[in-house]
Amino acid sequence: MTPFRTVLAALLLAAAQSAGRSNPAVTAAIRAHIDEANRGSEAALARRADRALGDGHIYLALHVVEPAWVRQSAERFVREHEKVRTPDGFRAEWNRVRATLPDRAPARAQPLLLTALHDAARARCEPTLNGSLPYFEEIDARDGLYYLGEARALAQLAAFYAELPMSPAGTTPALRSLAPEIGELYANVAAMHRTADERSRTAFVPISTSLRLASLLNDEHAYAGALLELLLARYQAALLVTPVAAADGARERLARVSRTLDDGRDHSIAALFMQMAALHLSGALPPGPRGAAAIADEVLPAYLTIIGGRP
Amino acid sequence: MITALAALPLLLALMAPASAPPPAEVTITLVRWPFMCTLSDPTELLIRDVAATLGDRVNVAVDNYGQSELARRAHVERFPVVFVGDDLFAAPEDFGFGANGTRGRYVPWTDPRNQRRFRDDLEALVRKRLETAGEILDRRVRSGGSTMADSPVSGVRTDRASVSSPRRTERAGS
Repeated sequence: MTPFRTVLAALLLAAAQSAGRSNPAVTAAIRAHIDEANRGSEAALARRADRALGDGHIYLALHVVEPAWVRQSAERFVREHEKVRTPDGFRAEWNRVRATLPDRAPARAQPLLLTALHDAARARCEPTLNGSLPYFEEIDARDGLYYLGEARALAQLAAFYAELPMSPAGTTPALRSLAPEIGELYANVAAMHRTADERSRTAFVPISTSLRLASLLNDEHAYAGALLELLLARYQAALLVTPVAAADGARERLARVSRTLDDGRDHSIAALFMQMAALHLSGALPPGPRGAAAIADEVLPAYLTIIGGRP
Repeated sequence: MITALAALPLLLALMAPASAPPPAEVTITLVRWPFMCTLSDPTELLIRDVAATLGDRVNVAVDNYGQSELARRAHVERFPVVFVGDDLFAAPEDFGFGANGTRGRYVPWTDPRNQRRFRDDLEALVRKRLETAGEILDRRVRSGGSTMADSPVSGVRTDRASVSSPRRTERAGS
């Protein structure tokens, strides 16, 4: 079993126990495996995931460990297939990965956040797979293999999310098409990008990607995933404009929003952002308390408006 | 009776109020790496900014790399690629990913001045297309014609692209 698989298996165990707190022994095992697996380029993410798990923030741990796991898995795929040099050899591997593409929806009822994470991973599989083939043939063989490995990792990730034995966190809120919100944010972000300097323009790349994924998921009526990606885009955009002074009182504003979430519905997507806000407030997640203010003032009010709560 | 029924469509057409001409539309198509990409994402934002500036008459379409019929017809094998209508507006080499990697109208692509130049070039071309389409529509309305040609406008590219490998990018959340 690879280190990351061990980590994910341990995460599964922790998730099975409760959606809130994790078993200290499991947490310790996960921390050890994260340390082992993430020496090198993923060390920062590993520390963050480790801390989230230690705080009992399983949603945040899943969110943080995901990109690290996908990158490690894709790199491992490249190493395992370094002898694949010909188009025919690549196509054979491509067909093998294609056979593993995930189903449209998880079979079991889960927290809405897991549905969203599953949808987002699943939606990325096929375009990444399809892009890998011309990439291998026309641009760069190694990168083509990397993207094929990424497609495989995303398929495995979707399966992992689908199999997590976690129960829904309440009744599912009414979800709907987010096309108006996605279109509005696209226009706002594009206008912000126009006046941004070179350094800050790089911050728009993940915003654009989240919006693109939100749009794809929305077109598929996968509204949980679309909501998550829309809110991630909104969060990243809010980080660009939230002033330092907004950090004052962010903890209190978050507490107020938190009370409105206690209505019996599944607010696991909002819970992820609450956990991110807690990490911001602790200073362990850049840009510190200002990030918590962005969540309190921009992300959670948008969430409540969309799901029909009190902003 | 039969004669009256046969004339009914003509009578109805004469009674109907003159309908407004359909809006002229220009579609900007971006062929991009499907997800996070330091080449594709700024390009998409700039295209969307142009579309937002020019209003409902401009559509934005996004094709995934490897799945674009427009790119296949234009023999462009890399990304990003931008089409206005069916015409190639910007090829990968324009963004600095040609064989030599150092030349191209918008190189270096990370420089906001080059991104602004791309945006301005695109907006100018699309404005011209809209004006042309509007003039054709006006003529059509005046003459009662039934077709609208999407006539080519100068400024589009027709040459084949040959570009170097773009940089791989990272997933959000890191």
